[in-house]
Amino acid sequence: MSAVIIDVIILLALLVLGVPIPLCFVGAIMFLGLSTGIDMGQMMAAGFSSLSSITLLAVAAFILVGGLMNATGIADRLVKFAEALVGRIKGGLGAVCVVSCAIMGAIAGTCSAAVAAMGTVMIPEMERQGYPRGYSTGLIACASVLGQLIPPSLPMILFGYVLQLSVAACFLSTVGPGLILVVIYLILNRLMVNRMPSVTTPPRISGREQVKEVGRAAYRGSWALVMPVIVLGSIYGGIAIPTEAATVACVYGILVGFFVYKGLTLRKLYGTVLSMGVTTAVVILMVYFVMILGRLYAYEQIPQKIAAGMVAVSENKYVILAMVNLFLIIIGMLMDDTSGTLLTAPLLWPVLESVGISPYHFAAIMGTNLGLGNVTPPCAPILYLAGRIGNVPLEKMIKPAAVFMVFGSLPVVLITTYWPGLSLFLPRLIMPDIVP
Amino acid sequence: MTAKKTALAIWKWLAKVQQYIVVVSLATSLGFVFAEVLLRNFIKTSLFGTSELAIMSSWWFYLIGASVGAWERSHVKADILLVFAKRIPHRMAQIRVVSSLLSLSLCAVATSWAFIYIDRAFDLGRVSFYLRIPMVYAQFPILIGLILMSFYFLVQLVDHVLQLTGKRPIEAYMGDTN
Repeated sequence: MSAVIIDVIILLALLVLGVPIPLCFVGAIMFLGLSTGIDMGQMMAAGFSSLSSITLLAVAAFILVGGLMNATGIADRLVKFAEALVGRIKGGLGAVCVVSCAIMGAIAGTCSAAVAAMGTVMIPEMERQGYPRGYSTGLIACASVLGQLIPPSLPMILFGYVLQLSVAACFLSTVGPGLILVVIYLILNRLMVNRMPSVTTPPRISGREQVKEVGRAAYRGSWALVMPVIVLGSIYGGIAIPTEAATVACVYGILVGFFVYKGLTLRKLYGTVLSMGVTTAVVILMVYFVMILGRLYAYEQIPQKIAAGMVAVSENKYVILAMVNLFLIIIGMLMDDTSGTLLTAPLLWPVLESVGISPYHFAAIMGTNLGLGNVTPPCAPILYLAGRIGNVPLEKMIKPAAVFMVFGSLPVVLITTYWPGLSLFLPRLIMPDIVP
Repeated sequence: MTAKKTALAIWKWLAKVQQYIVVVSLATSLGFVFAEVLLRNFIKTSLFGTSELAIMSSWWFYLIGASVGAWERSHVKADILLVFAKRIPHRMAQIRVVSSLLSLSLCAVATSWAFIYIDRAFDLGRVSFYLRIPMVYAQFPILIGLILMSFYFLVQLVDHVLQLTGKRPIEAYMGDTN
C-alpha cells in the first residue's frame, strides 16, 4: 500500500506544480515501473494496442463538431432559436443560456465547447440587457456542465471506453440529471434576476406573434437544429456508432457552413480542423498514458486495495457513495473532466462494484460530480475559461457561480448518487438488453 | 543575427509542417470513417480495411498534434501553485522553471521508452490484419511526437530560465507561424 501512497503523492505533487497532466501520469508510471521492474517498452506497446480503436476517434469527431459549430454560425442560430422561445420572459436571456448549453450538449458534448460557443455569443448580448458581466459569465460556466450531461458526451465516451461499457448507454445515464439541472438553473436564474433592477426585458408580444417569431427562428435555424437529430437519431436508431454519427455531423456542419450559412471559408476550416485536432491530441495523449497507468494499477491491484481501504472505513453503501462523491469533487477541482474521468473510473469502479452499484449509475455519478468540480475553485478549469472569454475576474463571477453550484449542481449530484432510478431509467427503457 | 534568423525560420517551418500533418491526418481518418458510413448505408457494401487506415492515420494526428500542443504550450495543466503565487512574479517565475524542468525530464523518460518500443517494433516487423501494412507506420509517430515534445519543453525551460533571470523571453522573438 505504501507504493500506492507514494505514487499518488507524486501524481498530486506534479499536478500542483503545473506539469502538463499527461506528464504527471508519466511520473506516476515511472515510479510504479521502477518499483515493479516492469518492461516499459512492453507497456508502451500495451498503450498502443489499447488506443488503436475506432471508438476513440469519436473524441476527435465530437471535438471537431464543437469547433465547426462556432466557425459556421450554427451555434449563433441555436441561440437565436432559444431566444425566440424564452427571450421575452423576465430573466429570459439567462434562460436562453441554459437552454442553449443543453442544445449545444446534444451536439458537441464538452463543457469547453459550450463555454466557448455560448460565452462569445451570449455575454455581450446579456450585458446589453443589463445583466452584470460577472453573473452572465458565472451562469455560462455552470450551465456549460450540461454540455457533458446531455448526450453525446466526451467524458462518457472515455468512461465507456475505459470500463468497456456501452457508450450509448453511458450517454443515456446522464440525461435525467442533465434535465433536472436545466430546470433548477432556470428557476435559480429567475429568482436571481428578480433581484437585478438593471436587467431589462424585451416587450411582451401576443401569443400569435410569439408563435410566428419562434417559427421564424426555427426556420432560420432549421439546418442547425437538424444536427442533434443526426447525431442522436443515428446512434439510437442503430444506423451508426458514435464515431460515425459524429463524423457525419462534421461533414454536415462543413456543408451547411459552406453552402447554407456561407460563413465558412477554407482558411477558417483549416484553422478549425487544426485547433480541434490539437485539442483532441492533447486529450488522447492523456488517454495513452492513463491506459498504461491503468495497466500498472491493475498489475499492482491498486483499485482493489483502494476498495478494501474504503470498505474498511465503512461497509455501508451510502457512506461509500458519500466518500466517492467527495473524492470525485476533489479530483474535479484539480483536473478537467476528461482527465478526471480517465484517472478515477478504473480506480473507483471496484469499490462501487463491491457494493452493488450499476456501472451506468456510476457513469452518471461521475458526470455530475466532475461537472461540479470543474467549476469549483481553486482550479475550476471551466470557470477560468469562461472568465477568460468574458474578460471577468474570478472575484466578480464567484458569487453567482457559487449560488448555481450550491443550490443547483450539488443537489443534482446528491439526487443522482442516492436515486439510481434517475440515471438508470432511460438506459433500461431504451437499451434493456445492455442495462437490465 | 543570421544564425538567429535561420533558427527562427526553421522553428516556424517545423511548426507549419507539424500543423499540416495534423490537419491532413485528421481529415484522412475521419474521411475513411465517413466513406465507410456512406458505402454501408447507400451502396450496401464495405470498403476493405477502412477502419485500419483510419486508425493508422489517427496515430499521426494524436502524437504530432500533441507536439503542436507542446509548441503552443496548450497542454492541460492544473497550475494550482501559480494561482496562489499570482501576486508574486518572482515566485511565479521560479515555479515555472521547476515545472518546465520536470516536464522536460518526464518527457525525455517517455521518449526513451518510445525508443525501446519502436526499436522492437522494427525488429518484429508486424503488419496490419487486413491490408498487411507495416504497423510501424502507425507506431513511429509515438517516437517522433515525443522527441518533438521534448524539444519544445527544452525551449520552454530555457525561456522560463531567461525570464527568471530577468532576460528577454524567447517568445518575444519567436512569434507565431502565421
